[in-house]
Parts: sequence; structure tokens; C-alpha cells
Amino acid sequence: MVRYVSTALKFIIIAIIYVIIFRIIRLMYIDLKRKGQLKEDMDLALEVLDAPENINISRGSIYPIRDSITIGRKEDNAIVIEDAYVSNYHARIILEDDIYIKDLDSTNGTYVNGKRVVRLTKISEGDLIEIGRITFKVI
Amino acid sequence: MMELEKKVLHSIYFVTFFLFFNLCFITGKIDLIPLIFCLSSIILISYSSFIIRKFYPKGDKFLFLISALLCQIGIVMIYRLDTRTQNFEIPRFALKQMTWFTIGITIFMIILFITPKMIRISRYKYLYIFIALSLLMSTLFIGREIKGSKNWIVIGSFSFQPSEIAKFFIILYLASALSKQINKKDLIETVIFMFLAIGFLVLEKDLGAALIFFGIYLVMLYIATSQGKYVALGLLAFSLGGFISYFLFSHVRIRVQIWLNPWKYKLDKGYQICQSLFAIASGGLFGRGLGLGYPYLIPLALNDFIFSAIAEEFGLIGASALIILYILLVYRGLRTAIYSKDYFSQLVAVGISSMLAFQVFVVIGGVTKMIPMTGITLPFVSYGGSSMLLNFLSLGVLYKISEGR
Repeated sequence: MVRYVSTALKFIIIAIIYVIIFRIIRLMYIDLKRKGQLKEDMDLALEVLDAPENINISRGSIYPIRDSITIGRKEDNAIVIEDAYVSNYHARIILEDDIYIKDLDSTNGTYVNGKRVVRLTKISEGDLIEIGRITFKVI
Repeated sequence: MMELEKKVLHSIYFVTFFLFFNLCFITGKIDLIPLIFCLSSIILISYSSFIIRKFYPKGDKFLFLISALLCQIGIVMIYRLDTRTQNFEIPRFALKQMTWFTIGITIFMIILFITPKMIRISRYKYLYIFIALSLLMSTLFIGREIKGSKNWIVIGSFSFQPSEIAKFFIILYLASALSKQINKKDLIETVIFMFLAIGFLVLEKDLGAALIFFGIYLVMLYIATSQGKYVALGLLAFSLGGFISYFLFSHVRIRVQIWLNPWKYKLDKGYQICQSLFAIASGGLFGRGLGLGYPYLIPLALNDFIFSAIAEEFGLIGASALIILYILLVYRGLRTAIYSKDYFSQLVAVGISSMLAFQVFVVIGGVTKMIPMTGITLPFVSYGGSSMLLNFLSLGVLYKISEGR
């Protein structure tokens, strides 16, 4: 008696576990499909175009922007630049529907395409951002 | 999305119910204790998923659902093994495991409530490595040797494995050290600290944990620097270290010899692994059914060898289902890493997922004699308090990251 019940239940249990697995895998499929569609309109990054030799940032490094971040010399910035010309908290990049940059009252200023940033400035792909002796390109 | 979660949740209730219902009469007479277990499990899962849905709706609920299901399979198997102990009246270990499950879920909730923004906890890297190393070191002085590994601390009737908790702090340390731009000096610093940590583990004869620490380190280093040469260098160092410790330490040598030919030692040192292989083989494709096999003949079936017990009673398809569940759990963890907002949380998520993956690989590989057996627990399924706590702690952090804050 126990034998039959256990055998029957075994199949039921395994079947339900596979149903759960199937459902999660289907979700995985939907997930991947949606990821492909999202890909085009997000994914901004900063590429280092020019930097002095002896600091922690090297030419060609790429920093993806996924959230609002700060740039500066202090450790807790998202992008840390160990350069004397850069202030502790130099600039902030704000990611809303568009992407903006704001100067945080830095000593040497932040420049977008050669112009000093005074208030919140919208930036877009191809713009050049200068912070201290470093030049970033928005890609 | 919401709909699908509900469906999965309901299926989990069904599985839990059938599993415990089956337990009611495996002893030959009708036993009602499993139904109490079943009820409390279902109440716990439904209550906590309600809380998650209400207060933290943005996170990845499947992380929680999959782990809860794994825990249920574990508790049922432990209960089933309990019924074979002499003078069986109450399921001693299953009751304890149920308590650990409850405490684990509580910790999961507490982590959700108290963790500040992830980026804020990225500053204290030296604190993390200090905690991790002192936990690992502590067992060298006040540890007690249980089952051949000196990695337990016993205080009264309460014992725990510090290396389990140390794993979590190592991940936090590596994430905070590697999430900044790193130069050669920082890199060498992490190498030294990891060398110390793994060295302590080898001295304590906790080879499984040493393997996992090493795996986590390599994965996180590769993700942070994306340079294949570090991985190659690491693997080289690993084979060199393995080679040296084979000649230096007798316990390493014994493990490898048992792995190469367990049948030669089948009555003493290789007894465990031979019994485990017999159990898996006798399960066949569909298994014997819950309560119809002899998994209690495997030594340590509650902890390290629980996978063989499951393979015997649920067969190849049941065991594969278990492995697929782990794959999905790791996939959800890595997905969390991809969508996470800052670099630090990304590395933490990668670390936790790779910890789970390596742990499952080392245990299942060990009991099926694919790699040498090293005693560690199967996450969420094996009997054991410290591993349950660690796993729910990591799960809480992972969920927090998947919330995107």
C-alpha cells in the first residue's frame, strides 16, 4: 500500500517541480527578448580621450553610465580621478530621461565642448567633457 | 509577471503539500507531524512573499521562491532520514532544520529592512577583510575538530562554522577592493589577503571551502579586470598549490587516493563515497520513491551526501530537477548583476552567485565522484545552521541589489 502511494506521489511531485522549472524558463525567454529591445535607447558611457600619464586613469578607459553619479578626487565618487587639478567632488552626472551634467562648484571648472558649465547642462553623444586635465567623450 | 509569480507560488505550495503528505505514512503507520511541518512551511512562505510583494515589489521574487522550494525539499529529506533513527518519536533534525529555515527567513527580512544603499557599505574594505580573517583564524585556536576538519567553534551545545560567515565578508571585501580603479599595488594586496584566507582553510583541513574561496576570487577578479591572463595565472597557481599540498598534507593525499579508486578503500576511508555511489545507482531513472530506498545507509546523509539520498529516492529526473533549480537560481543572481546600477553591487551579486554555483558544483561533483570529495554543504538543502544563515544572508543582499538601490 505504502509502496503504491509513494510511487504515485513521486511522479506527481517531480511533475510539479518540472512545471515550476518550465514556468521560470519561459520567463527567462521573455526576459531575453525584452533585453534585446531595450538595448538601443540606453547604454551611455564616458570614454577617456586624453589624460596625463602619471595618474590612475588611462586613455581609452570606458565608464558606463547607468545612474546619477559624481566625479571627483575623493574615494567615494563613482569615477575617482587622482589629479591635483580635480576638486574633491567636481561634477555630477544626472540621468533622468535625458543625461545632464552639473558642476559642483569646482575650483577649475567643468567644460562641455570648450564652454564652462554654469548650470545644469544637457549632454548628448559626441560631446567632449573636460575635467581638470582629463577629457571625456560621451559615447 | 505578477500572474506568473502567483502561479509558481501556488505550484510550490502543491509540491510542499505532496512531499509532506507522502511523509505521513512512510513509517508504516499514519503520522500527523508532517502536516504540521507542511502548514508552518506554507504559512512562512506565503507570509514572507506577501511582505516582499507589499514593501519591496521591485526586486526579483524568483530568488526567494526558488530558495524556499529548495529548503522544502531539504526539510522533507531530513525528516525522512530522521524516521530511521532509533526510537523515532520526534524528527529531531528536521525540527532543528525547520527552526533554521525560520531564522533564515527572518534574517532575509531583517537584511531587507536595515541594509542602507549598497554603495554606502562599499567603503569599509579593511573592516571586512579583518572580520573574515579573524573568523578564519579563530578556529585555529579555539576550534574543535569534527569529521576531520578543524573548522568548528563549539560554545555549549551550540556549534557553528566560521568559514561559512567568512565567505560573505570575503565577497564584500573583494567587491569593495575591486570596484575602484585598481593598480598593481591594490591587486597584490588582494592576492596577499586571499592567500592568507585560503592558507588558513588548508591548515584547518577545510579543503572544500578553500576551493570555493579560490573560485570566487578568480571569478570576481575576471569580472573586475576582464583580463584572461589573471585567470590563467590563477589556475597555474592553483595547480601548483594543489600539487605541493598533495605531497605536504596527508589529508589531501587521502582524498585524492579515495577519488582515484574508492573501491580499494571501501571498508574504511572510501566507505562514504562507495555507499553514495550505490545509492545513486539504485535510484535509477525514476527513483525508488520517498521512503522506499535505503538512503540512511550513507554516512552523513543529512549534510554532505543529501544529494545522493535525493538521487536514490527521486531518481535521475528528480536529481536533475534539483540541479536545474540551482542553475535557475544562479541565473537569476547573474541577471541581478547585469541590471544592477553601480559597480560595487554588480561585483557583490556576481560574487554571491558564483559562491552558490561553486558550492553546488563542489558538493554534487564530490558525491558523484567527479572531483575529490570535500565536505561542504549543499546550499539551502543540507542540514546545517551556519550554511542556512549564510545563504539567506546572501540572498537578502542579492534581493536588495535586484531592487535597484
